[in-house]
Amino acid sequence: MTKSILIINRAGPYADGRAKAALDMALSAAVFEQQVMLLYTGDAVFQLVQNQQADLIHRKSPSAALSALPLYGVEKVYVDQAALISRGLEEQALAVEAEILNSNEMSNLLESADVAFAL
Amino acid sequence: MKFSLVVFAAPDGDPATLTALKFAQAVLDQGHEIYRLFFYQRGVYHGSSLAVYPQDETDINQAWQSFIAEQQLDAVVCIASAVKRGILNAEEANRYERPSANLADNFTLSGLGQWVDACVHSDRVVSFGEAQ
Repeated sequence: MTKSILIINRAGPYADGRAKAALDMALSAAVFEQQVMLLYTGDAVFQLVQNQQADLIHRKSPSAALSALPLYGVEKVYVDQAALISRGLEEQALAVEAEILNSNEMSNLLESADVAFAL
Repeated sequence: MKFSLVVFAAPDGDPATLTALKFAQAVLDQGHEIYRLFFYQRGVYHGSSLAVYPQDETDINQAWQSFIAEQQLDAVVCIASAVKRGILNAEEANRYERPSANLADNFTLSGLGQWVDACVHSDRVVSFGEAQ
Protein backbone atom coordinates (compact mmCIF):
# COMPACT_ATOMS: atom_id res chain seq x y z
CA MET A 1 0.00 0.00 0.00
CA THR A 2 1.25 3.47 -0.85
CA LYS A 3 0.56 6.56 1.19
CA SER A 4 1.54 10.16 0.65
CA ILE A 5 3.84 11.28 3.44
CA LEU A 6 4.52 14.98 3.89
CA ILE A 7 7.62 16.01 5.83
CA ILE A 8 7.49 19.66 6.90
CA ASN A 9 10.93 21.16 7.49
CA ARG A 10 11.00 24.14 9.82
CA ALA A 11 14.57 24.24 11.14
CA GLY A 12 17.72 25.81 9.74
CA PRO A 13 20.41 23.43 8.47
CA TYR A 14 22.73 23.65 11.50
CA ALA A 15 20.42 24.60 14.37
CA ASP A 16 20.07 21.01 15.58
CA GLY A 17 19.52 17.55 14.12
CA ARG A 18 16.13 18.25 12.57
CA ALA A 19 17.33 18.87 9.00
CA LYS A 20 19.06 15.51 8.94
CA ALA A 21 16.24 13.69 10.74
CA ALA A 22 13.73 15.02 8.20
CA LEU A 23 15.87 13.91 5.26
CA ASP A 24 16.40 10.49 6.86
CA MET A 25 12.62 10.12 7.17
CA ALA A 26 12.07 11.25 3.58
CA LEU A 27 14.67 8.88 2.16
CA SER A 28 13.43 5.93 4.26
CA ALA A 29 9.86 6.48 3.14
CA ALA A 30 11.05 6.69 -0.47
CA VAL A 31 13.05 3.46 -0.15
CA PHE A 32 9.84 1.76 0.99
CA GLU A 33 8.10 3.16 -2.08
CA GLN A 34 5.90 5.72 -0.41
CA GLN A 35 4.96 8.95 -2.11
CA VAL A 36 7.12 11.50 -0.33
CA MET A 37 6.59 15.26 -0.30
CA LEU A 38 8.95 17.72 1.35
CA LEU A 39 7.92 21.22 2.39
CA TYR A 40 10.45 23.82 3.53
CA THR A 41 9.18 26.69 5.63
CA GLY A 42 10.65 29.13 8.16
CA ASP A 43 14.42 28.93 8.58
CA ALA A 44 14.39 25.55 6.83
CA VAL A 45 14.58 27.40 3.51
CA PHE A 46 18.26 27.95 4.38
CA GLN A 47 18.73 24.17 4.04
CA LEU A 48 18.18 24.60 0.32
CA VAL A 49 20.69 27.38 -0.33
CA GLN A 50 23.49 26.21 -2.57
CA ASN A 51 27.26 26.35 -1.97
CA GLN A 52 27.22 25.94 1.80
CA GLN A 53 30.64 25.51 3.42
CA ALA A 54 29.49 23.41 6.35
CA ASP A 55 32.96 21.90 6.87
CA LEU A 56 34.08 25.23 8.34
CA ILE A 57 31.83 24.54 11.35
CA HIS A 58 32.51 20.78 11.32
CA ARG A 59 29.06 19.97 10.03
CA LYS A 60 27.72 18.30 6.92
CA SER A 61 25.86 20.39 4.38
CA PRO A 62 22.44 19.00 3.41
CA SER A 63 23.35 19.43 -0.28
CA ALA A 64 24.61 15.87 -0.88
CA ALA A 65 21.47 14.29 0.58
CA LEU A 66 19.28 16.82 -1.23
CA SER A 67 20.87 16.02 -4.58
CA ALA A 68 20.14 12.32 -3.92
CA LEU A 69 16.40 12.95 -3.57
CA PRO A 70 15.54 12.44 -7.28
CA LEU A 71 17.52 9.17 -7.29
CA TYR A 72 15.22 7.95 -4.52
CA GLY A 73 12.18 9.08 -6.44
CA VAL A 74 11.50 12.13 -4.27
CA GLU A 75 10.55 14.77 -6.78
CA LYS A 76 8.01 16.76 -4.84
CA VAL A 77 9.88 19.51 -3.07
CA TYR A 78 7.93 22.59 -2.03
CA VAL A 79 9.05 25.90 -0.59
CA ASP A 80 7.05 28.45 1.38
CA GLN A 81 7.11 31.63 -0.69
CA ALA A 82 6.71 33.93 2.34
CA ALA A 83 9.66 32.25 4.09
CA LEU A 84 11.87 32.90 1.04
CA ILE A 85 10.80 36.52 0.68
CA SER A 86 11.18 37.39 4.35
CA ARG A 87 14.74 36.03 4.26
CA GLY A 88 15.68 37.85 1.06
CA LEU A 89 16.21 34.62 -0.88
CA GLU A 90 15.56 34.20 -4.58
CA GLU A 91 14.48 30.95 -6.18
CA GLN A 92 17.79 30.92 -8.12
CA ALA A 93 19.71 30.61 -4.84
CA LEU A 94 18.19 27.18 -4.19
CA ALA A 95 20.22 24.02 -4.76
CA VAL A 96 17.22 21.90 -5.75
CA GLU A 97 14.29 22.13 -8.12
CA ALA A 98 11.39 23.18 -5.98
CA GLU A 99 7.89 24.45 -6.40
CA ILE A 100 7.20 27.74 -4.64
CA LEU A 101 3.85 27.77 -2.80
CA ASN A 102 1.72 30.55 -1.37
CA SER A 103 -0.23 29.98 1.83
CA ASN A 104 -3.37 28.70 0.07
CA GLU A 105 -1.33 26.22 -1.91
CA MET A 106 0.37 25.07 1.30
CA SER A 107 -3.04 24.46 2.89
CA ASN A 108 -4.02 22.35 -0.11
CA LEU A 109 -0.74 20.42 0.12
CA LEU A 110 -1.36 19.62 3.79
CA GLU A 111 -4.87 18.53 3.01
CA SER A 112 -3.65 16.24 0.22
CA ALA A 113 -1.23 14.30 2.41
CA ASP A 114 -2.24 11.04 4.12
CA VAL A 115 0.30 11.62 6.89
CA ALA A 116 2.26 14.73 7.83
CA PHE A 117 5.18 15.27 10.20
CA ALA A 118 6.58 18.65 11.20
CA LEU A 119 10.23 18.79 12.22
CA MET B 1 -9.11 2.66 14.43
CA LYS B 2 -5.42 1.82 14.32
CA PHE B 3 -3.08 4.40 15.83
CA SER B 4 0.68 4.71 15.85
CA LEU B 5 2.61 7.18 17.97
CA VAL B 6 5.94 8.79 17.14
CA VAL B 7 7.65 10.11 20.26
CA PHE B 8 10.27 12.80 19.65
CA ALA B 9 10.13 14.03 23.24
CA ALA B 10 12.79 13.09 25.75
CA PRO B 11 11.43 11.46 28.94
CA ASP B 12 13.03 14.05 31.21
CA GLY B 13 11.72 17.58 31.17
CA ASP B 14 9.49 17.48 28.11
CA PRO B 15 5.80 17.36 29.11
CA ALA B 16 4.98 15.86 25.70
CA THR B 17 6.11 12.43 26.95
CA LEU B 18 3.29 12.36 29.50
CA THR B 19 0.83 13.70 26.92
CA ALA B 20 1.85 10.83 24.65
CA LEU B 21 1.41 8.25 27.39
CA LYS B 22 -2.01 9.60 28.38
CA PHE B 23 -3.01 9.73 24.72
CA ALA B 24 -1.93 6.12 24.21
CA GLN B 25 -3.93 5.04 27.27
CA ALA B 26 -6.98 6.96 26.02
CA VAL B 27 -6.68 5.34 22.57
CA LEU B 28 -6.89 1.89 24.16
CA ASP B 29 -9.59 2.93 26.67
CA GLN B 30 -11.75 4.07 23.75
CA GLY B 31 -11.47 0.65 22.15
CA HIS B 32 -8.97 1.55 19.46
CA GLU B 33 -5.77 -0.29 18.66
CA ILE B 34 -2.15 0.81 18.87
CA TYR B 35 -0.19 -0.57 15.94
CA ARG B 36 3.20 0.70 17.03
CA LEU B 37 5.08 3.15 19.24
CA PHE B 38 8.11 4.59 17.48
CA PHE B 39 10.68 6.41 19.63
CA TYR B 40 12.82 8.73 17.53
CA GLN B 41 15.65 11.18 18.23
CA ARG B 42 15.69 12.11 21.95
CA GLY B 43 12.63 9.93 22.45
CA VAL B 44 14.99 6.94 22.41
CA TYR B 45 15.89 7.69 26.05
CA HIS B 46 12.54 6.09 26.94
CA GLY B 47 14.21 2.79 26.13
CA SER B 48 16.87 3.13 28.83
CA SER B 49 16.57 0.70 31.71
CA LEU B 50 19.16 2.67 33.68
CA ALA B 51 17.36 5.99 34.29
CA VAL B 52 16.92 6.77 37.98
CA TYR B 53 14.41 9.43 39.01
CA PRO B 54 14.31 11.30 42.32
CA GLN B 55 11.73 9.81 44.70
CA ASP B 56 9.39 12.78 44.44
CA GLU B 57 9.26 12.68 40.63
CA THR B 58 7.26 10.40 38.38
CA ASP B 59 9.48 7.70 36.91
CA ILE B 60 8.29 8.26 33.36
CA ASN B 61 10.58 5.58 31.92
CA GLN B 62 9.05 3.03 34.31
CA ALA B 63 5.53 4.28 33.53
CA TRP B 64 6.06 3.73 29.81
CA GLN B 65 7.81 0.42 30.31
CA SER B 66 4.96 -0.93 32.50
CA PHE B 67 2.34 0.32 30.05
CA ILE B 68 4.12 -1.33 27.10
CA ALA B 69 4.50 -4.60 28.99
CA GLU B 70 0.89 -4.67 30.25
CA GLN B 71 -0.60 -3.83 26.87
CA GLN B 72 1.94 -5.92 24.95
CA LEU B 73 2.65 -3.06 22.56
CA ASP B 74 5.13 -3.03 19.73
CA ALA B 75 7.66 -0.43 20.97
CA VAL B 76 10.41 0.36 18.51
CA VAL B 77 13.40 2.54 19.32
CA CYS B 78 15.14 4.04 16.27
CA ILE B 79 18.48 2.26 16.13
CA ALA B 80 20.48 5.12 14.57
CA SER B 81 19.14 7.63 17.11
CA ALA B 82 19.64 5.14 19.94
CA VAL B 83 23.19 3.92 19.51
CA LYS B 84 24.62 7.42 19.29
CA ARG B 85 22.84 8.28 22.54
CA GLY B 86 24.12 5.20 24.31
CA ILE B 87 20.96 3.12 24.20
CA LEU B 88 22.14 -0.36 23.20
CA ASN B 89 20.79 -3.88 23.25
CA ALA B 90 23.12 -6.82 23.80
CA GLU B 91 23.68 -7.31 20.09
CA GLU B 92 24.72 -3.69 19.48
CA ALA B 93 26.84 -3.57 22.64
CA ASN B 94 28.66 -6.60 21.32
CA ARG B 95 28.97 -5.19 17.79
CA TYR B 96 30.44 -1.86 18.96
CA GLU B 97 32.41 -3.43 21.82
CA ARG B 98 30.71 -1.45 24.55
CA PRO B 99 30.85 -2.68 28.18
CA SER B 100 27.10 -3.14 28.66
CA ALA B 101 23.63 -3.04 27.18
CA ASN B 102 20.75 -1.02 28.65
CA LEU B 103 17.73 -1.35 26.37
CA ALA B 104 14.69 -2.03 28.56
CA ASP B 105 12.63 -5.20 28.16
CA ASN B 106 9.84 -5.12 25.56
CA PHE B 107 11.60 -2.49 23.41
CA THR B 108 13.09 -3.33 20.01
CA LEU B 109 15.91 -1.51 18.24
CA SER B 110 15.08 -1.10 14.57
CA GLY B 111 15.22 1.34 11.70
CA LEU B 112 13.04 4.03 10.18
CA GLY B 113 11.51 1.30 8.02
CA GLN B 114 9.37 0.50 11.07
CA TRP B 115 8.15 4.11 11.10
CA VAL B 116 7.28 3.88 7.39
CA ASP B 117 5.48 0.59 8.02
CA ALA B 118 3.53 2.26 10.84
CA CYS B 119 2.51 5.09 8.51
CA VAL B 120 1.32 2.58 5.92
CA HIS B 121 -0.64 0.36 8.31
CA SER B 122 -2.15 2.90 10.72
CA ASP B 123 -5.23 5.01 10.24
CA ARG B 124 -3.63 7.79 12.29
CA VAL B 125 0.00 8.53 13.15
CA VAL B 126 0.40 11.12 15.89
CA SER B 127 3.72 12.64 16.92
CA PHE B 128 4.62 14.06 20.32
CA GLY B 129 7.30 16.56 21.23
CA GLU B 130 9.57 18.72 19.15
CA ALA B 131 12.19 16.97 17.10
CA GLN B 132 15.69 18.27 17.76
